[in-house]
Amino acid sequence: MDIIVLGLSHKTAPLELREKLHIPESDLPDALEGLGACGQILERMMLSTCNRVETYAVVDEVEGTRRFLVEYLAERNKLSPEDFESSLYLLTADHAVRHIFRVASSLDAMVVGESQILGQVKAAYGTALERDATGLILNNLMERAFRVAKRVRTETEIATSAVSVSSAAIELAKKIFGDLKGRAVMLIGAGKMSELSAKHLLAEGVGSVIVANRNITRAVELAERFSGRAVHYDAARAEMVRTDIIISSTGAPHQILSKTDLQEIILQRRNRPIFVIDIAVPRDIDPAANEIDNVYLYDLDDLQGVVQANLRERQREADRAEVLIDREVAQFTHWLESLKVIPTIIAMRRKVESIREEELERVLAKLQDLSPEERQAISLLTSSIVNKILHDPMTELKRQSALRDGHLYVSVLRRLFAIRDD
Amino acid sequence: MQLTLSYLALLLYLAASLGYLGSLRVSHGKLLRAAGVLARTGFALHTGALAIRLYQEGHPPGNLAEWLSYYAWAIVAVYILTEVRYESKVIGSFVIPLAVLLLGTSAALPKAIESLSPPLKNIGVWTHVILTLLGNAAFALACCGALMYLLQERQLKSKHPGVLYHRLPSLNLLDDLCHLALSLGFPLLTLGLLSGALLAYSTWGSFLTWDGKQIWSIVTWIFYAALLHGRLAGGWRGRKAAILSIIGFCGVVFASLGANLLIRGTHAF
Repeated sequence: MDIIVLGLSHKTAPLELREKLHIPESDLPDALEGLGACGQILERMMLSTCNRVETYAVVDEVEGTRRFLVEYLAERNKLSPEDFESSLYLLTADHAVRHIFRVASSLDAMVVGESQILGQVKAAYGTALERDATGLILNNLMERAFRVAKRVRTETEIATSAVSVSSAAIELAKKIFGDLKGRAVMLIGAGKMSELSAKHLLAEGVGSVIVANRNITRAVELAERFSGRAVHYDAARAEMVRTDIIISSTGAPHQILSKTDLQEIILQRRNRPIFVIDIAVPRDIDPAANEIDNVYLYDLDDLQGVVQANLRERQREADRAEVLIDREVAQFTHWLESLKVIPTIIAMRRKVESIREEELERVLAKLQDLSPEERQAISLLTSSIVNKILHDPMTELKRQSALRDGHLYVSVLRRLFAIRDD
Repeated sequence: MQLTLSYLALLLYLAASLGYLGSLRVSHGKLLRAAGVLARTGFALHTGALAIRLYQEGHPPGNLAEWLSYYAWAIVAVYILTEVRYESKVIGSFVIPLAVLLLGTSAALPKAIESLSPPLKNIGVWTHVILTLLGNAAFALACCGALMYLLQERQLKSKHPGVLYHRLPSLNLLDDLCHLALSLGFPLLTLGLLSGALLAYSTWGSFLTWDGKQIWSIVTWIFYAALLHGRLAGGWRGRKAAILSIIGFCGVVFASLGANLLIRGTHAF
């Protein structure tokens, strides 16, 4: 009996191929049904997202299952195995367990720490559960995977730093102003980009939005959408004194704000800080303005730089998460080991034997005047009772364990006789 | 007993410092919380040590070692209040090591009290000592806040934010912290100096005895007066104000430690 992961992901296959093998959510039950046809697959679930198509299964024999799965995928998607076989990875035993934990915890993701994947894994598992495609082992494995993912999320800061340009801008604004509530924002230029940024900022509770544009009609239009105010481009300078965050994205071929302009504005603001985001290409604002105290000027490249730095930060946190995952993999492997028959029989015998010895000792202590021979006879008697009782269940257990679902018997026996995993 | 408690407090502050500094490198909520608990426990023991000393001797700090111990205590006290107000524990990464430095120096200095100036037991002295102590503690906090401000400002200006960018609070919070600390520290120092002058008048018949500490304290007071005025009226804020807060605190440290070595006078330390 083995746990396997067979699949491909953004790390091994191009989007083109992933698209071809993708299984839409509505087809998932049907696909699970199809896998059921393989006699060697005991438990199964399938995960299909835009970044990966993977099958998690508990199988009797690895190589046979692999061949079946490859052919199944090929047939289902009308491909030939050669088209995708080189992109496939096959992981078994604790490598498979670690992979599943890493996927659920978003360590294997394209953007490490992104939060969608956990929901997708949960949904995939839910579908498999509904179709009765999973069993004892996969159920336990997935429950642990969800627990690990939660621990990674709460015990490391893998998901806290911003990894997109717009969220990086918000993060920077918060590092400057603290709370964004009540801050005044000005959009210069009424393009798509400014609209998007304004939406993000409004979600953070900024107080007011002013739109400045050469074309006043367009400015009014955009301002209305944010219940803000529109001003003509020429009046913008006066408003900047009352603005905390400026997002500039005009199509102007030249700079619209010089260092001196900003120096004057900051003086009028009595040095209250101002965050200027210049997302225009070519740039709207003289880059030298960043040298002015209390002016924080970021252009597109700067924001990209912050994103890169944050990704590195996430990677550092991911390294910490790996340690956590190693520990959980070891725990799971331990549990899996306990489902094997021989250790269970030994543990069972040890338990019964210790009960026998304890009881015998207790009784013999009361019966002081017995001869050594009589004591010996009582001891033999108890032994033979215990052995006779154990004989049938143990034989049956050994026989069942060679069959499918044998570990179920082991699991039930351990539960009934309270044999712990140690 | 009092010494044992002091040393224990020092050890706990040291452990808390390591925790605070460690959490600057890797984010670790548990580590930061543990550091907070250590610092508070250290503070409780430190309070105990000072209370015992007070009960046994009954006079205000009589030498530099004692003054430094009181000073470290006041700084931690002011810090704990800040932590509650700002819900940011990172400030401890700067304040608690400072307390360790002061208390550690205190432990290394001779304990003997050379000469106790005659008026050292009356209520006037206590007023003078407590006011200047709290004022100076507030300035220490302002200095730590200013240091953090400069570090975070560098992170933001450089456009290559590192670990500190994520760990340190926002510029707004840090500037606010500096401002609050200065606006509390300045009136306390003012009253402290006034009470000192009155004390001098009632003891020696003159408001000023021109010892090194007095002169230097007045210089520091003028500096902080200018800084606070600049902040309130001139819109000084941010980097320049932060640098001035740090310079001001250097003045405080010199007034506490060095000024007396130049011109000895009515202050025993």
